Amino acid sequence: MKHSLLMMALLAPLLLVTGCGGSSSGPDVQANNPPVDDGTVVYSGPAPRTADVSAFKVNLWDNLVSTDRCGACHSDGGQAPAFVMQSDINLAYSAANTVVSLNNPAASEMVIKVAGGHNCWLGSDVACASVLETWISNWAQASIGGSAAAVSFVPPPDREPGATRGYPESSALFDSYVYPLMRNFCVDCHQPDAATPVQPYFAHDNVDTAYLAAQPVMNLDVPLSSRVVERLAEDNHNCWTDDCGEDAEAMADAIAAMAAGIPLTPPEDFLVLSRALLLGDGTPASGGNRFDTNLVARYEFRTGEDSTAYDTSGVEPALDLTLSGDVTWVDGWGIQLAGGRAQGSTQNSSKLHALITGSGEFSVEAWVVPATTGQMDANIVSYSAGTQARNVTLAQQGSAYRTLLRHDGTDANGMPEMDSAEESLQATLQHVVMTYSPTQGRQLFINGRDTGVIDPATPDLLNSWSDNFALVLGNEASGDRPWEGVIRFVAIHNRALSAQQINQNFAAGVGERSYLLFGIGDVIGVNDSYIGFLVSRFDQYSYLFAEPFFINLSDPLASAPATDIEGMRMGLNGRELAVGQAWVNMDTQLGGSGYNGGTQPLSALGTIIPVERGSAQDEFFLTFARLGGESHSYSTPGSTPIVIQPASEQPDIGIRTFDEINASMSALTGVSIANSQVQATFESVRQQLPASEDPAGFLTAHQVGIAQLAIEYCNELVEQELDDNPSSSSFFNGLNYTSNANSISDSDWRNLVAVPLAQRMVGDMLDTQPPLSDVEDELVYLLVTTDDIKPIGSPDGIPDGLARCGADCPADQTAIAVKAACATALASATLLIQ
Amino acid sequence: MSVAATLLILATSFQTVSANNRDQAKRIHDRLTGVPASETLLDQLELLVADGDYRDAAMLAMDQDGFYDVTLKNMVTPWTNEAQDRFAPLNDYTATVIGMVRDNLDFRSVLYADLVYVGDQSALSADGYAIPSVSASSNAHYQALEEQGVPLQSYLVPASQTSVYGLPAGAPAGVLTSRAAAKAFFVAGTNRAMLRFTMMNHLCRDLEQVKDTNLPVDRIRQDVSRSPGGDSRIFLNSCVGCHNGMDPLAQAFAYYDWSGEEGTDDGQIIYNGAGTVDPDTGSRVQGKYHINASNFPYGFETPDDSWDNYWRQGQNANLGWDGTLSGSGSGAGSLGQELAHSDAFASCQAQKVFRTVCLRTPHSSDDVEELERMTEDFSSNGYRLKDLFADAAVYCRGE
Repeated sequence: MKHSLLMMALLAPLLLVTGCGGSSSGPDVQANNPPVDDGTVVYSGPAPRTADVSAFKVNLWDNLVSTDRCGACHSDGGQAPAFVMQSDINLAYSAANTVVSLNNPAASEMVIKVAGGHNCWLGSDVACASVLETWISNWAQASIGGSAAAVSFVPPPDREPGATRGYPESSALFDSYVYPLMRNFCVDCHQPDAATPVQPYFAHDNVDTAYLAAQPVMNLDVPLSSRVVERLAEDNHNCWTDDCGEDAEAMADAIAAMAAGIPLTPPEDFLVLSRALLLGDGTPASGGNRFDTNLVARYEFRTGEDSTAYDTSGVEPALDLTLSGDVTWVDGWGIQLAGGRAQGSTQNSSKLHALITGSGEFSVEAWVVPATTGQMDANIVSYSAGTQARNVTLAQQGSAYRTLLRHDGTDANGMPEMDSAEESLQATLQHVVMTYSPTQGRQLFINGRDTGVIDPATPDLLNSWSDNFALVLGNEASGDRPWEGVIRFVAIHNRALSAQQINQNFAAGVGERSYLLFGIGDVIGVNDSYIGFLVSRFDQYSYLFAEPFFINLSDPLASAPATDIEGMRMGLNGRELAVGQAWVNMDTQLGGSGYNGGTQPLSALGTIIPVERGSAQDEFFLTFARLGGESHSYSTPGSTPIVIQPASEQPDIGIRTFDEINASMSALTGVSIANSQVQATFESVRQQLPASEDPAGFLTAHQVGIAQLAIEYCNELVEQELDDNPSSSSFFNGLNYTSNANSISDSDWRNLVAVPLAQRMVGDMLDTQPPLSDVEDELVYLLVTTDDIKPIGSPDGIPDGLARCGADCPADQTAIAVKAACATALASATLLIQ
Repeated sequence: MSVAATLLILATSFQTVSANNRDQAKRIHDRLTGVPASETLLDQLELLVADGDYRDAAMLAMDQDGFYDVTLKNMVTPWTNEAQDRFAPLNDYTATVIGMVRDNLDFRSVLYADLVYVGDQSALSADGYAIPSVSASSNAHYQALEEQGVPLQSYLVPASQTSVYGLPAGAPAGVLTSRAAAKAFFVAGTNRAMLRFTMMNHLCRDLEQVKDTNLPVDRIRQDVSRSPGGDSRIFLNSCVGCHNGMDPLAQAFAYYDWSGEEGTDDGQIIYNGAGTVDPDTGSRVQGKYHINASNFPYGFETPDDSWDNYWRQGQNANLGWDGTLSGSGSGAGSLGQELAHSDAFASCQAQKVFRTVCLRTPHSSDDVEELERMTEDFSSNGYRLKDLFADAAVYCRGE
């Protein structure tokens, strides 16, 4: 009860402040975040002398003055600096300025001290530092219109690039330890003559070629980080035993054994090198240029440990989230969700209700990496109670983002939904912002761009919002709308961010960012010269190095003559990286008469390089093909000549395919393929005919189609003859179609029909075809046999021969029998096989 | 029942026996034309074979309509569509290959000449065929040629794409800018498909076979996620191996697009000529080259259609690039020349023809040696595809 009263006391001023700006029309309201009222400290000293002092009081002093934060020590008569003294806010202001950097809040001594473990009032030093940075940023926003107006670069420590293991020229060690495993267990795919060759060819039958191919997938310094080990251990990629863990261990052991035979060596002397740096040697660049004026909750996931994701908005009460289920921390700030969730208490979540219904508008902003584009009804950020009740939800619907919003114009479950276009959601890092205002309704921005989707609901007031719902990330409050992916940042603002503000936040990026300055002064002969990069942790497995620039930090500025810079490469832990080099083709100059200090851009490109030993230990450096007067000539490894290996034994013969069958039947019967009847039949059976010459692929259905087409060709052949002259066939010379079939002698059927058919359709004097007499006998039997075995099992007393009817045959039986004999010969294997 | 039973008997009574001269003549003819020869022609062929004039027999067989209308058409048709459908209708891509083979042109120019073969409208009309005019926006012309059984070798005539399709000078690039290829590989997407399928169809390599992770990544476009599904290892170990070489080559197609919807037959090739400003890019580059640019803003932003062949370095140097060419250029034509002048192109043509005529891939060391000999002859005799067919037909005539 006491806590509830305290909550009401805390929220009351928020309502008072935010309630003034219910409409989004007119200029943006510059709403400062509410001070913490601990109920005990009421300032009664001299008035702030300037607006800046006033901003200091509202944004920082009020938040730190209580005795459970900094007031117990850094107050009147206490420990210096007395930045929360209560007797004179102006003196407190002066003291604070000794430990605060408004230009770079993250670099403030106050922030660094707390991050280092100095009397944090939360469960995480990182969270305290983050909140403190937010308050200083707010002060900077009010005082100088934003922080990070200029980054104050500091010369980094001077380090020699460390030693590492390089690959020896000889493949002997590889051959002894690693190649046997690769050759034995990977040969089915990872060699060029595999049925389905898969690069890299580290199982090549030439060990030297295999050695070159294997180098990028081995890590001699950290064998467990070898790609070839990770694929076994993490992806169960074609393990050769039932235990992928054992296989991965065997591969790692083999690489370790190989590495043990290779001495640690520093980078080659002939390389043109910069000085080396660790990630921690950088100048912080994070967070300074975001638009966060109207934050009400923010999650940066900086802590990377325990089960709480801290709300670092600085707006109290802190809406911290508890991680439960399958949720893991991601290096470089973020959480990975795979069915679990991060959920706040209903009580603390109610601040969203209070602050958002007060303003009547809001924005939900997130940096996310969906695991796949196939997830449906998967909640990313949701302020809701279950599948049927919500205030607002940002979800994934396949390859689109979905928003659900409750207001007076929608139902209690936030329907109708508003989705972005198909394929607008991608399984990569994306910045997504949903805004809502009573004038614009819902708007959805992806990577800084308005998707243009129109809100299907007429905008209305948020009076129907409930304060009994909970904020949940990666799921529904009821746990049955799981989302899989990585969330690296979430912010909730109680204003609809403008397109410009969203673009600003997108451009600010996500995660910890810093500038690394690689010393090159000793190479170019100008002290305090550096090549800098904007560096951040890109994801769990890599760093981003982007937008290299030249800078000279000497004071007074030293003259940096125009200096050639060519072929810049990244080095990691003592060796040049084989993969991911983005500036190999760089060919430009740095310095020069136009350089007057500050940063001189060298490239707009960026690249990612792999995490190897971890953020604290990975050591970076640069190499150059040319830098000033020093150069190194790089040679590219030669390629292995292409050798075509014989495939496995295959048949020497094949079958004719669809068009070949059609054209062959046309050639043998003399009926044009353009004949309308034939064409119609061919079109209907075309895709039923063989498409491949491979005899092994021949099916019953193929034969049925062939027979159908043959019957049509023979039908047209005979019909055309009947049209021309029914009493004298030209194809079957001497045959009179008007003669009764039964009256045509056996020998005439043989000589006038079977023989020409066999000769034309099979061909004479060919050893690769059946003997003509065999074919003729089969056809004659078909026509004139007097056997009576059909219908099978109940013979009908009529001879089975098509031209034998027991008595006179029907008048058209001669033509029918000829057509049948023709089709029999035409559709046979003698035509099909080539 | 009698018919079916007899079919079965005839089918099963077939035996493989050694081939006499007539058999060899028949096989040479049948493998080249797809159809049996007439008695008269077979007699002629048999005489040539008996005299050891195998190659003359093959050349005589290739004079037959079946060689163009059946064998060549069916070999080429799968190259002209993404599904590699052998049943697809005749189109300008296939007709152009057929015409080039008939005319014994340097087959390398199939990837870069300002050339398209069309039906000779006046000759067709004179002979009673009713064929619609060739059109940039319809395949009806070629479909009618096929449906009406027009003997292609008798009626195909060469024309320029600039005149037939209205493409500006510099835009045509052989079959790459044919209507069929544009419809299949410039539709939607990012135009990378044009490079991939050209590699598959004319260098006999899919991207997997040219994957090389060690090349520079500076030309990989912004749309390629560097962390698919949140795992950048996938990019560094897989995606990069294709995109680092593919993207700087596929830049050659930056000015091309297809006007129609995917899955429909309508549409025509689009080319942003000099002076054209695409509203999405502010340059001649098609908007599709800048889609999803926010996936990795630090990636390469395509400014024009200049291309570079990174595969000249590293393991793919073994594709045998032409040392007289620079390995760089602008537009699809020069890229087509770069690809077509490689050793891999020549070898690929030999492999495809061997497969078409011998109905199998090389399966012995003798076969491999023959393939290499065919490739050498093809390369040293003016890159005439008929030579490859003749060589293959002679080699696989049977014993």
